[in-house]
Amino acid sequence: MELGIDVSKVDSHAVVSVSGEIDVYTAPKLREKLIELVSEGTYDVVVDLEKVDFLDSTGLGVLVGALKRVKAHDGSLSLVCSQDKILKIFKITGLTKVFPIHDTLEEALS
Amino acid sequence: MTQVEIEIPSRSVYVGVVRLALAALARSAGLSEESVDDLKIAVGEACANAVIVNEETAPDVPVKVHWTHEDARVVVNVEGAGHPFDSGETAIDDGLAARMEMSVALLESLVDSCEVTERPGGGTSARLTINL
Repeated sequence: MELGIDVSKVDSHAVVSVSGEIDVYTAPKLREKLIELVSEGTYDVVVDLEKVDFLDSTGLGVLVGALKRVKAHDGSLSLVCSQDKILKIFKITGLTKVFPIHDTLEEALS
Repeated sequence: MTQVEIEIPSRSVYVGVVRLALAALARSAGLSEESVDDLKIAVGEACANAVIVNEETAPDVPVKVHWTHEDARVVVNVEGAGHPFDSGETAIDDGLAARMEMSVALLESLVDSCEVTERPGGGTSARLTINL
């Protein structure tokens, strides 16, 4: 039940690669990392969910919160996700209309 | 009929343990991998809701999860001490209310039925049913 978070910079974007399970226990760690990036002045963020096995409503809440924060600075937050079981969660909750979701990281950065 | 009961302390770290245990039970009951994933999400949501409210209102009361596999259906009951679906009664802030809305959407679409009832003596029980 570990959550891995790796941050890399590509041009003006921060790429946050997440692995493991984002749930009610681990989501606060992701929230802190995303808040830290915005407070450092990074307003264009790509969150790569390709290595995420599980995502719950608390994790979704963290992503929505981060989107609000970057938008307050005219920034952007997009997601990389091609796994059906994770995409399903965004569809059920109507968040496919809220986040730009890309199949690959290259597509998200282009 | 197979029945299993799991009790966890009201701490978010234990929600993942319930998900793993219930996924194993679901596989042994013959659910497809897609249905196992759906059940994991639904049970995780019901458990997280109970834990979040218990942590606020009754941290020493455990969350109880009952699994029943009978004939062509699986029923999972998640019992907490509080009222997670009634944000008026608890100290749920705006962020948690938005989370709860998404949680309810997931519960309603991933299992065949989700009923929340008052328990005698206080608290609520979320009853998730999956028809096999």
